[in-house]
Amino acid sequence: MEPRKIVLEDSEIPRQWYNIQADLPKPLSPPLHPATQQPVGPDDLAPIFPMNIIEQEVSTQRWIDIPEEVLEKYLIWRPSPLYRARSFEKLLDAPVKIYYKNEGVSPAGSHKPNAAVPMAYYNRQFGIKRLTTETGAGQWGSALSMAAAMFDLECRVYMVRVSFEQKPYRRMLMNTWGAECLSSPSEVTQIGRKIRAEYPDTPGSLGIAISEAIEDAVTSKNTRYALGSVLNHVLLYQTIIGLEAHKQMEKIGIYPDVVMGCCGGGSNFAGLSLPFVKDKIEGKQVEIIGAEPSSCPTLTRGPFAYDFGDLAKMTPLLPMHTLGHDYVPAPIHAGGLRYHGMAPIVSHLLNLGLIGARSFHQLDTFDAGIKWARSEGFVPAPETCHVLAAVVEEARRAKEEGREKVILFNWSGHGLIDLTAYDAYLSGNLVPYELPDEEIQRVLQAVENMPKPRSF
Amino acid sequence: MESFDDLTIRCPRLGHEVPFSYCRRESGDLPCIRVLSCWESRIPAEACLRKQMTAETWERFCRQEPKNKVSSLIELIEAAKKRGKTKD
Repeated sequence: MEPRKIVLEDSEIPRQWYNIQADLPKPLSPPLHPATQQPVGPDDLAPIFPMNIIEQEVSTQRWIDIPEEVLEKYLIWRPSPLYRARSFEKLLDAPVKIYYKNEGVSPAGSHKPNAAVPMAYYNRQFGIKRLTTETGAGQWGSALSMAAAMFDLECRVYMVRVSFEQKPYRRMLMNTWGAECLSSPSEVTQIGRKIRAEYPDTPGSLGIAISEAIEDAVTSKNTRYALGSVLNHVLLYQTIIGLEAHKQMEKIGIYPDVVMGCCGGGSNFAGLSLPFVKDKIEGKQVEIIGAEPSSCPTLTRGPFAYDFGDLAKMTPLLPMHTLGHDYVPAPIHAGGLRYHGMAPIVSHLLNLGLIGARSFHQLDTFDAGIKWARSEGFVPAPETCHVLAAVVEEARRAKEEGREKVILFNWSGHGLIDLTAYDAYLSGNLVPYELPDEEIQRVLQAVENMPKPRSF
Repeated sequence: MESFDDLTIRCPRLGHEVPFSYCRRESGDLPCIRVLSCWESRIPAEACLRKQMTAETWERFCRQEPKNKVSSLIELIEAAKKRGKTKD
């Protein structure tokens, strides 16, 4: 019988996080204060983060010790198993060996507690009594709620109203772990009250929820704010995933050709990949790919598509008309990882050519997720399905090239609280809406006299 | 516009399904910054939004630039401090 799992003993858990900032060929540009245009200093962030976390945010020390108290909590579910996805390999029928880190084994069901636990610990060490944060569907909110309970901190989560109403189970999880979960905009902050007065039927947004969480932290005693992605210290804490994977692969004497993760804000992708980026900087041959969402189908019938990589600049917009059935919008699928909300370290690595990006349409991702669930058993979170789509594509490439490849990826969380998304997919509600031709013509007429975009 | 409002898509920011009606008013009087990248392959989102928004609002939407997260946190801190000073 061939083994499916490669496990580390508790005693083998890594004792330090890896900080990529020590090894970047070109350092990150410092963020600028929006008022002074001068580099941000520690005091600027002190109203919302404790100084011990701010120090880690700007640190260039390569290895940072993981405190014993954090390791004790990590050991509840870590080291997470490294699996060989033999059934998925068989299904794909390609010359690939597929290994994955199962981060769905954490109590909150995702990789998020890897960062939530040290954040709660460092806040506690700094004398903080209460944490605030914002959440959408609740993956981060529930992880922080659990971590806060572990270190005896109060926790208040501002959950976007539309999510609060649609996703009751994670709200219940937060309550179970003792956190207070409020629908945002709420009545407890000035900004929340103002928005409710102006837009009584607002469904809320992440922007509003962040504003509320920060106002709460800034104006309340012994309170700080916690952010679950994007920032350097979050990515630092997540490197425990890749450091374990490194040890596990060493145990079986295999090194990956390709390392992959799904990329929302960048924390789970970076968590697995940064230790392998270090190898790459030191000369190792390894391809590192972030899989991001795109709503553009692989083959689109038009009438419009955009250069999403340029979307942030937005002026002028770059529509491409009348694409036809066989048009593959390459600029879109080249990926971006530059949009609002992406971790600066991840965008920087992309600019340096150390990682690549691919985007996948939601239908392809759910198709991969279903294939996975029916072969490997575990139901992936919809975000995790993005990396599964990337793995499927990589296996197809390997088959076409006739090349054997070892793929390592981060299975970032389970989807047991996201079954409504699967239901929407299985019942056909996510099928792309195809415009009737007369509607296309009507719309084209409507924009006829508007400024013409650059053409390709 | 109304004909598209009930169409749903998975929101990569929130992590669940949302209708187009949510995306086109996600930021108060402005749509979500990702509205075009999420929707344009399915519906003529740009044309719909331009029809609905004034030229000035459309321009404001288009001119938004991605901010470094730390810089935007500092803006939020400063705004919260100001509100704190005028606390009722």
